Amino acid sequence: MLRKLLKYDLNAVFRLWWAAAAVSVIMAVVGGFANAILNADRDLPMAVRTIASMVQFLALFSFIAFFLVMLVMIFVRYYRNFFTDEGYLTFTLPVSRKALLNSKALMGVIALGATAGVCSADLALMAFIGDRDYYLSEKFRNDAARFFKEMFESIGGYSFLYALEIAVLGAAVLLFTVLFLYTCVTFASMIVKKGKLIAAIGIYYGANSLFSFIIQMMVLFVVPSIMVWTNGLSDQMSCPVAALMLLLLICYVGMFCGILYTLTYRMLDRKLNLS
Amino acid sequence: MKKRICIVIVLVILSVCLCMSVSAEAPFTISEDYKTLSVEGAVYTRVDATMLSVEYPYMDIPELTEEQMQELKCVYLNYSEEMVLMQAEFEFNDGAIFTATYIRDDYREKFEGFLSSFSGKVEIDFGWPEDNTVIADAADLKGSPVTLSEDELSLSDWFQVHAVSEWNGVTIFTGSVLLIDDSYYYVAFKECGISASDGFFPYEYMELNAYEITDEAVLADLNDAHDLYIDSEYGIFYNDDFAEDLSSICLILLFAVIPAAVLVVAVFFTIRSKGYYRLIWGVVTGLAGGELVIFTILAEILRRVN
Repeated sequence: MLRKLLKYDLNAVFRLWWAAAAVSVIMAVVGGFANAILNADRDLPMAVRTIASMVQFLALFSFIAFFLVMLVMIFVRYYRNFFTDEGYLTFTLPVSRKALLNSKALMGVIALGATAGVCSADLALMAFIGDRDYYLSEKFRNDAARFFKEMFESIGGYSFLYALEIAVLGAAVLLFTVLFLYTCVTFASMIVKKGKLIAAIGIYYGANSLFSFIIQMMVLFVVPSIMVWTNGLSDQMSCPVAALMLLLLICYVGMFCGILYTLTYRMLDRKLNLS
Repeated sequence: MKKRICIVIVLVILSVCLCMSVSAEAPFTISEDYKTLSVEGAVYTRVDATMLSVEYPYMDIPELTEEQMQELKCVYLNYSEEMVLMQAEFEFNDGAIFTATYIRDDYREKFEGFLSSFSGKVEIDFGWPEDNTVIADAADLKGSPVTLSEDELSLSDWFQVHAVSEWNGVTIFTGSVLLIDDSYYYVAFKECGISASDGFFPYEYMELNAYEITDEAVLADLNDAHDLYIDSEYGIFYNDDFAEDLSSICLILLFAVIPAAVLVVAVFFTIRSKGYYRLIWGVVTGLAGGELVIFTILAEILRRVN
């Protein structure tokens, strides 16, 4: 049943995703050409340089907008399916609430992951068009080969472990982002009877700001300690310690994902009141 | 309505472009032999002055002739606010880069007077906070000669050394003071053939001849200035024991106390709950427990290292 639910959720979100992704790719191409114009001739009139720079900025802005639009679409889909009139239909389906929540969480992670992938490809495309001669040259191939050779020589097999850990950590962060959104929306819908949408947006915005502030303060206070502690590490120990640190972060983010999932599931399961 | 908005947008863009074109300054031009630069009637002639640099430069791109464009890819021009000294970086089509310094002709005599007035007093500029400098005789910086290896250079912090006097935005850079493992070294640009206008980055050298600074008065001043720099640059975290403790407490709070609290709550609910709730609380228990185990291993490794 989860597979069917996921199919419907993904169809609903990706119906608009393609359009947004296509716009971001077009903007990447346009931004890349603006970049190429700026790179090719440094004697351009100031007005042309300014317009080309503005086009570049617009292209970068479109990537951020793409990500935000996807977040809004995930929010709307979740809210509309569970807490508007559609909710009556959703919760009368012969599907467990566990499957409903899992489907929404997976849909969010897949949609945000795909968006992040397209945004990264957009940036690469923009850089490629902007300096095509360099990226097609022997020099770039040599630079890239040297970079990977040096990286492999210095960290060896750990590079594969790091890549795996970073991928898992990225997925965990995406899951956290989605579950954080769902928890705030669900909580708002539990405590407010009228104006649920505005309450949901307000609570998410407030909680997100508070959370970002706490994270920034913690990073500010914690990073110096980590730097001082790891300063004396030998080259031999640096790799396993870095791998352990990534694993620690995965567990840490995963732990909070678990808490958010449990809270959201409990609210949906026991506290939901659609009247 | 849409038509009006479009007209307004087009008008705004056109007026911005027009303003920029009107306000654009007269272009710099370079002679065919690259020996002189001209702008608005002022002529600048090339001088051999690798130690001179403009500390807070303005930047421009000169206009090139057709012939120059066949040879050159681009030219960047840095100049002081007073427009007395110009430094040009020529980027040739074959990838070669060449830098040259130009002095405005009507200032040439005064400039040579300024150079000859250099008394040997130099200022070691720590950059932050403002005016955090040490003034010393250039001769006092030259203690025992040493050769710094690539490994040593890669660990260094470096601070600019320039003549005390500054003239029309032009600064005479004599070298750089390097701090490596609590010892200070002086790299004299002229002796090492380093050009101040190219910028100095110790990481770029395989080895470098320098002088270890041994003058005790200079060393004391350098240490004071460096302490002030570190306190101001990195705030409370480095030289303050309380702040270091605070940072460690935050680290332990974040990665040990919070997960431990989560673990206790999760174990409690895992035991009490049934069905799916038991499974998800179990997963939280596992992740919190795993996090604590990894944190303990890391803390033990780092404790042994430190």
